[in-house]
Amino acid sequence: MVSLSLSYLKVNWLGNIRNDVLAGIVVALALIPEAIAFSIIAGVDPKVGLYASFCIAVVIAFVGGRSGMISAATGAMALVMVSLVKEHGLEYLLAATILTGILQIIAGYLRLGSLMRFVSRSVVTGFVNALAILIFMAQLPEFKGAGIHMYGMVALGLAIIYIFPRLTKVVPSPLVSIITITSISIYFGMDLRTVGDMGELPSTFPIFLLPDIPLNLETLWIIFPYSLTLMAVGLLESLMTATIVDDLTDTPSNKNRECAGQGVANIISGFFGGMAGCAMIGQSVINIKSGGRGRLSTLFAGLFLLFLLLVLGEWVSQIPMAALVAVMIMVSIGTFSWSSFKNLKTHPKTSSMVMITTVIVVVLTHDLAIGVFVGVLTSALFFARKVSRLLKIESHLSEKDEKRTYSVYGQVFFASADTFSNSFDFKEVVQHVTIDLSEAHFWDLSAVGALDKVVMKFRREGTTVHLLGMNEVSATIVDRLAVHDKPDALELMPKH
Amino acid sequence: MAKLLVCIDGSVYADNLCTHAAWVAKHLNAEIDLLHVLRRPSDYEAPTDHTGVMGFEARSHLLDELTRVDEQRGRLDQEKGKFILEHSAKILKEAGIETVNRIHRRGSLVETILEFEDSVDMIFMGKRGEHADRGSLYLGSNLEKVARSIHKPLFIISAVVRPIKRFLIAYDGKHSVHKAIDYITQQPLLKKDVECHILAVDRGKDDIETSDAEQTLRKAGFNVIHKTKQSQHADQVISSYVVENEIDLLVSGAYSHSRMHSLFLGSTTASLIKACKIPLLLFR
Repeated sequence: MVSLSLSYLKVNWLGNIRNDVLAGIVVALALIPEAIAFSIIAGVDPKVGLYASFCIAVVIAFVGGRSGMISAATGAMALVMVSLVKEHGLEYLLAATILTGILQIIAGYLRLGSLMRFVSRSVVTGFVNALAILIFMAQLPEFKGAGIHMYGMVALGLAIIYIFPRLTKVVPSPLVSIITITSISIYFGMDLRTVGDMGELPSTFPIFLLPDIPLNLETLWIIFPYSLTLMAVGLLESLMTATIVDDLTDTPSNKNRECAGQGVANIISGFFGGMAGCAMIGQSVINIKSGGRGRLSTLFAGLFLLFLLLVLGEWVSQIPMAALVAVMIMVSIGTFSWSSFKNLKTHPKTSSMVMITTVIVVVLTHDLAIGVFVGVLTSALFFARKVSRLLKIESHLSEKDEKRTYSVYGQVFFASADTFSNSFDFKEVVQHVTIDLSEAHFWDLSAVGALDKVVMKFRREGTTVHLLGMNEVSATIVDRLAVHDKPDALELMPKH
Repeated sequence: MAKLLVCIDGSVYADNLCTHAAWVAKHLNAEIDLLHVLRRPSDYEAPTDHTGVMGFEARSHLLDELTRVDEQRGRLDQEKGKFILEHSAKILKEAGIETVNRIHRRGSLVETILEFEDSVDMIFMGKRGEHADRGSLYLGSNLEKVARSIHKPLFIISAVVRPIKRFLIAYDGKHSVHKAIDYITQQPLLKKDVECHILAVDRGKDDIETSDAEQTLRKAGFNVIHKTKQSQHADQVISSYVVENEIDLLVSGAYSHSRMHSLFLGSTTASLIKACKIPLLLFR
């Protein structure tokens, strides 16, 4: 619940007015090229992405769970919608956007945000790197068939972006870059593609419209798979960004409120002719860097974005694509985690594998959700393999009474069940075998099955088997017992 | 043994807080917890860079930068906090308080006070914190939050220090002011030779009955002077009464209206704290 009180207002809205407004302006200036670029990726008019960015930023400022985070139309989402737009058109995209929002609200209600804890750090790095690569790759078609002018202008744009801050840090250098490139292109009458060539720009405030689609099951079957992926990608990027902003600002956020907030923002975006969006890693970092901390900066970014478009729309349409490409290359460079190259040497091999797998799957499928899913799966498998090594079986022979005692320490589950059953020497002829299980954890049916097999095998050899500590063993099959949430969990757990 | 929680920072009120707390502690035979709460990194204005550029490793560089800035501030704040606590503890010791516990914490002031509230009998705060704008008429934002959250008596210190010869009970007939009267009659804080004024401000409905309160106080041995005035603006009437009668301490119930009510109509308590230049003792 949003409690309307002065202290709430102060902390979230009015605690940092000057910096929030300035940061909002810096962000808005950077949002315009991104929103246009992502609209082009998705295959819709720039106004769809721009309206989306306006609606999402403004709405999330009020309903989001992480202040200081910027949400708008994003590349990750745009990539998911490409084929939907191509095959069915814009109206279906708007409907899918609304459905995405509904699914996200349900996810927030079901507290799916807490599932993020299964997404390991390596998967997050993989996601971020894949995102950077996809944003970069999405710029490449702009160079196709373009002359030397295009390359020159992009290079100049990048040079201005990175060198201008050495002269002054008062003006955002991407803005200087865009203005310079646009002026040069207009002055010399260069034959460069401009934003205006890419489709319609907003000329009015967004208008409330119901998507023009037949309301039937068939439509639902078309949009549902897209909405499901959009929901997953949107929440993943939003929650990852929220964690990044948490770390940067050293303040907590409400992840489930953020999920539902993303949903509300997408629903409203869909009804006002915008595409689905989510939190943006790059813009949020720029916002924090510019001093933005409150909800005001997000709100102001959205408002200023629309203001700029309505007032300067004519000029915006003259911006050459080369200028946008330069800004987007900067975003992809800034998003990529370059230290992950260096870390390949030092990090555990399995972590690097997970990261690289995530990147490769995303780049191949253009679907961040699948990439993250595969990443999580890979890291889970690696984890299972590592834990399966935590199994030790010792034995000693007491010759006097022809008895061998096996003591089992550690974790027995599907991944270590074979190791477990292979650790017994069935060829040795002894009369009695004792298996001491009091220090072992049996996690699943594979483990129990392996134990059964061992006992049966000994019996067939004519050996009597005596099991020690069976009570503890059955107590460790904890699936339904779920001891971890009981206050006396430590006592309930048999010791290792 | 009774215990007082004295919340100090580097503001001008800190020394007065100690003087008053020492006075109260002697009357109640109490020990004192001196509390200084450090600000969190997020309470500071963030460093800014409006270039809008994301360079190589933008995230980790930004994290390093922000951490470095916070670290420097944190160290300075820790040093300063130690000094403030030492200084205040010295004042209290010199005033003859034997047990002074220094508590140095980090976090939100309100939450920290709530954490310690249960273990103490009265809480002391200055009208404004060190970081509040001194020229402004607004109260310290923390004070209002604390006043609304706690359930122990809250002693609010102003810039004036003088011995308490006359105190005024701002009587509105509500539950919290009865709590105040119970406290005064049962605790040895205010001696019987201190002059007791009761002022009821009637908003024209003629519904405030003061005779019970007066009786209770008289029975407890106080010399009671009682006035009822008609006005819509209780805060103005009370503050001019304070000046005219040279009242040294104002006792009042606090925040009987809901937050919503106060947000739109203003709160009598808040305007009383603003208007009166003397210490206040608030009960909820």
